[in-house]
Amino acid sequence: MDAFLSATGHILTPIPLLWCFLGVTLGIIVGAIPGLSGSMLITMTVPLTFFMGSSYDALILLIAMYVGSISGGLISATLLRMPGTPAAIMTTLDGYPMAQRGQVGRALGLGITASFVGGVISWVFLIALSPTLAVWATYFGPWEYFTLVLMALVLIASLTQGSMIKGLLAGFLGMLASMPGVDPSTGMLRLTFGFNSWAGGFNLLPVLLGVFVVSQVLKYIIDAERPVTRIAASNKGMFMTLADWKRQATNLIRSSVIGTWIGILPGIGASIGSICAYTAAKNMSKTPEKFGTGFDDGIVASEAANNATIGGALVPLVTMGIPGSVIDAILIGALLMHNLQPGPLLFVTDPEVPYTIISTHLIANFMMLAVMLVSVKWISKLILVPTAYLMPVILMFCLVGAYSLQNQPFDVWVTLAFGVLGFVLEKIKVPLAPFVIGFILAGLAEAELRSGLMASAGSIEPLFTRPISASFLAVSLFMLVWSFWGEWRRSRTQAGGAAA
Amino acid sequence: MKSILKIAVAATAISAAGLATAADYPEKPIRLIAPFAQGGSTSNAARVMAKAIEDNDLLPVPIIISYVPGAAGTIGARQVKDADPDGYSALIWHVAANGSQAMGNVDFGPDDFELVAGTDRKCYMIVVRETSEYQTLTELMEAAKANPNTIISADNLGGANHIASVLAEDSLPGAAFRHVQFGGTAKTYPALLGSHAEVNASSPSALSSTTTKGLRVLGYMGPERHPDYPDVPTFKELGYDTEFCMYSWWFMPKGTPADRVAVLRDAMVKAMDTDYLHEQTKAQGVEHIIITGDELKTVMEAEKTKISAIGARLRGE
Repeated sequence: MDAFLSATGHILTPIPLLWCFLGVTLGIIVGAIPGLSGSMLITMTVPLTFFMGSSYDALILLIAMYVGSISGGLISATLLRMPGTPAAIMTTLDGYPMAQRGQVGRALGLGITASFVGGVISWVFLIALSPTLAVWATYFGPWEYFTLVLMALVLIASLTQGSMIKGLLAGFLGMLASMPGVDPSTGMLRLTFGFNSWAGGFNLLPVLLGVFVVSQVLKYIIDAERPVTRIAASNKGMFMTLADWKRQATNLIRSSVIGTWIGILPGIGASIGSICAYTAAKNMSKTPEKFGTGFDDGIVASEAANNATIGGALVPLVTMGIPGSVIDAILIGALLMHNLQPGPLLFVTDPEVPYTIISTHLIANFMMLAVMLVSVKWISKLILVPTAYLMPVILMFCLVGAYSLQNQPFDVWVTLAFGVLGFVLEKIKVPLAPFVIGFILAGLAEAELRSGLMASAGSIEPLFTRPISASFLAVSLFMLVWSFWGEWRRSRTQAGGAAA
Repeated sequence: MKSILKIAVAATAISAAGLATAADYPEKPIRLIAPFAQGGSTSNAARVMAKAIEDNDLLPVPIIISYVPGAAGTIGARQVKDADPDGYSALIWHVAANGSQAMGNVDFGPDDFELVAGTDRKCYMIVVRETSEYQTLTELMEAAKANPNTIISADNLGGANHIASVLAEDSLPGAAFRHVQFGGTAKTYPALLGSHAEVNASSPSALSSTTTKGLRVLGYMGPERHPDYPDVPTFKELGYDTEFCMYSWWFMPKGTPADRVAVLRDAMVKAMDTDYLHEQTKAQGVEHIIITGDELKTVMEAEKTKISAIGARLRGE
């Protein structure tokens, strides 16, 4: 407790607060720019932190960047339908349509507030339950992971607007695109068609940038002849009303808890947390058909969950010294470079370090709320910038971002190729979100299933005998039947209406 | 008398020549490629060594580190392999130098470089859960022999922890673990704690990051006991003739003049004596050693033999 108070006391002095502010602001900016991601910002900053006097200040700066970058993604997701970070994919589904209706302030406000609430709720779990949660998370073995991912994959179908078949098709295409490269279970190369450059497979960032960003740029170029409808942006409704709070309370808590839990599980990041929370919100909603049309609940679920994964992912980091996400892996590297060995012993040897991480997480969330709400006035002007100026800049950031991932030109080609693919898919009205979700989840599902099968010597029995995996399986099955039944009923009513 | 003078003159001439070379080289920064992302243990080793050399003026020029990650280090390594052998390019790599070639993923290996030195020894240890029924290494090995292919070993197939686990079971004829793909420490540690796997081969640096909480170390695969784990017996002590250690290998392009390789090597040997390097290696849980000369050749050959045998077996599977 002393260590917690002294760490918090240190952060609340001017210089650390300044670092925190700088980190949050830079994080938001980088998060908002498609192509630049939080992990890039943090990787680039780590070497610079050696010039900072104290390693605590270095930690404060890095954690603040982490919080800022996951939050900033909602800006471009809402205004441009381009997720600034992978975590904001689901925010594009409702944020953008709402902004297009002119409710820019409300769309951003909902996202910002939900981000904040998600962050704070996950922080409560982080401080109160860290050791317990970390142990619980180990009960999740290959079968539990696999069925969790399977559940999310099945939900792809229910996510899509319009034709469910096209949604599934997009999901399968995404899964297909994740196959080439290193076989996750044996380390052997597969489906590389003899190209050396395919050996690493297609990385998430270039694929995401291509499908969501380059495709939009292409669409703009091709549609440029037509006059662009200019929407009247209004900043009204930035702050959630009491009625909003009441309506969203359950959704906020549920999505934050889902996000926190997904964050704790090692190896699954913020994007999956937000996918799961969004689909849970949709399936439990009385009005699931409103999701994807600019519905409050969609924005809230996605943003509360993706911010909650940060607090969740910090749990295994501070308690066990193992990373819950890519950014956490970089943070562990940064701790090592500052001569601090992350892990449970840290609470004994340097208790200020884990408590600095924990306190910064909370303070950075408050700062994120303040910075975003104050700057939203200017941020929302982005939507008024003529697209002709915006697109080349965004395209440049995209290509630079793809290249800087591993300094390889191949990633640039991947970005462009998936841009064309995304453009074509959209033209034939195949939705893009299921494509990316299939891409993200397929590799994970495959790796976990194959680990499980190796462990059970080829038997699929544990799938049904392990209680958690059996219940996940039952939920997936139920949701699949439910969505098909819903679709069938809708088409029958429509057919009936047409006949009458 | 005359002849003694001649020798003296010759000796002066030789040392003058030596001085001349030392003065010519290095005259510009040396580019060290770390073929991994920043923050990893090999990248850290590179950074720490470069800083120790620079802070103590052991070389007249700085060492500039370029991080070139990807494909187990082969992308960065290839750049150094193809670089001019002028003494201004160097590479730090690890067991993947042998592993990538043994697995058939690349067509070059340690023989295509000049070997400068080996540092940072990390010998693997066999760990189980604290609540595991296996109290000693002997109990575990006998169980693996009595019921082959049932005890689950959490591995990263084709990776160092897999190789170590295979070498461990091979040390008792008839013993076999069931090798299951989990991944690196971030996945194997929770797998052990959550009873999804029974045994894991882990490096001390990975173990110290989890501080062995909830784990029991049964045996150490190094030549002698690890200073941080004085109670843990080595495999050899218990009669299992096996060893598996990883090193950071330092290379320069093939054909780099021997005297230039020696300049870098000497600077590294001196750097090993600095307090800074001592502290850093200790913090990262690796053994603070540098091997050069004949010992270096022997150790590298031994690693190569072991890895290529296992590589052939894995590829045959």
